[in-house]
Amino acid sequence: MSAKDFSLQIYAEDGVFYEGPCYELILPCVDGEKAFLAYHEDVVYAVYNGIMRFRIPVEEAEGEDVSAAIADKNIPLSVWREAVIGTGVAYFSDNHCAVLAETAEWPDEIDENRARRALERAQEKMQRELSMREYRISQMAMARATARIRALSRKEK
Amino acid sequence: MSNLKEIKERIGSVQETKKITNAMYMISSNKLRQAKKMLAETQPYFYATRQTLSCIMRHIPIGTENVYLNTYSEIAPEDRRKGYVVVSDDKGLAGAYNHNVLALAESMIPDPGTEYFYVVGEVGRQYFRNRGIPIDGDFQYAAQKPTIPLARSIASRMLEHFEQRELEEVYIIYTAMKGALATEVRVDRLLPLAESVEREEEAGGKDGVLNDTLFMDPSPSAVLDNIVPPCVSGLIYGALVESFCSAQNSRMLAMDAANKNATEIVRELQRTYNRTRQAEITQQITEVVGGSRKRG
Repeated sequence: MSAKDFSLQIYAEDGVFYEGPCYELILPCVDGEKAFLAYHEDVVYAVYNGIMRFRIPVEEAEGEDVSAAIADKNIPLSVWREAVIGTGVAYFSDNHCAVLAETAEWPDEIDENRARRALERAQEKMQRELSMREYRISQMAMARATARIRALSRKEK
Repeated sequence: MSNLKEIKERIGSVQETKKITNAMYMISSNKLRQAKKMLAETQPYFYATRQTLSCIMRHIPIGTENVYLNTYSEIAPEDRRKGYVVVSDDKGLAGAYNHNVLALAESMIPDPGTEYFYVVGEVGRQYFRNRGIPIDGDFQYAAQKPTIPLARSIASRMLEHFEQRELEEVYIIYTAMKGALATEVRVDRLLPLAESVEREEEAGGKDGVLNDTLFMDPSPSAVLDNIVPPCVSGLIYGALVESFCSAQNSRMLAMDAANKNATEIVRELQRTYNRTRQAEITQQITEVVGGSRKRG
């Protein structure tokens, strides 16, 4: 491991999403996006539904499109990866970052129609009178769906 | 002695039953394999969550207000309300699997405190209904196909009861695999979390001094809010999958025994059939010989 990277583990409830080195990680947190570089201080962040970005060495991105690979004076040749992430926590310690989230998906795994339907359903539900629990469930569903749709529209650009 | 036609029919019907039990055996062994794979996929996440949680608990400043840190230890054992999530199967024909879980659940009733049962699986619901033990009627979950959304939904219910102080303790009664073939019924506490109980004990002993500090953003309480619910739903999911594996395993063993018994019965019947047939032929020959002698 060089001095510029840290080891990143992204675990979702349904399996291991990514495990390997990373140069830079941007996470959607409860109060805005947070970026992490190597040797960040030990910290725990609450992660919220949204789009996560992380920069990994080109060697890690096997069989993927690496034409967008970039290098600057601090960081060797690397590519940005984007994924949609659900609520969870990120725990940074000893130059190692563990992201534990409910869900994690690559943008091309998202079913746009399903996400749109889910958004509509959640909006409809929130307009009705609900118990606190149902309200929170709908709110989370809405945030998940919005994050997915946003990830897709970014990809199309 | 029964006649040939009857024995033949009996053999036929036993063989039909054997076909069914054999099919059930194969289905359950297949489902067992799938369930084990599912469990293996989610395990890294839940181990890491658990680990992170215990790490966070050690660093949380004293005096942090969060509902999940409550242990309600001030309430006397007789007044405590306990919720039990009982995981049974949707179907019978699984040996002693359902019975073991339900017997353990029922044995909790004499303990101090008031019990509330939340039953997963149709067999368990029927059992409690027949015995007149009240259960939560809204709690309609099937034991087939344990999924993460299902576990999340059970967890959010239990957490809500806990947050609103309707329950002081929540347990889950389930069956776990013990080695490759044996199963074991277990009771695990879901809430209050083992970590928060430990923390309270430690804090009491050490005068509330915590070693190094860990920065938590936006606040320790917000971090807890994000990590405790998945932890609980993870525990529930694990228990559901373990139970599902155990149910399939018990059914597999029961069906294997049924197959063996059916083979045994068919063998016996075949022997009786052959003997009866032989006796009948002998009888006929004797009659023919006897008849021809008389004429000659």
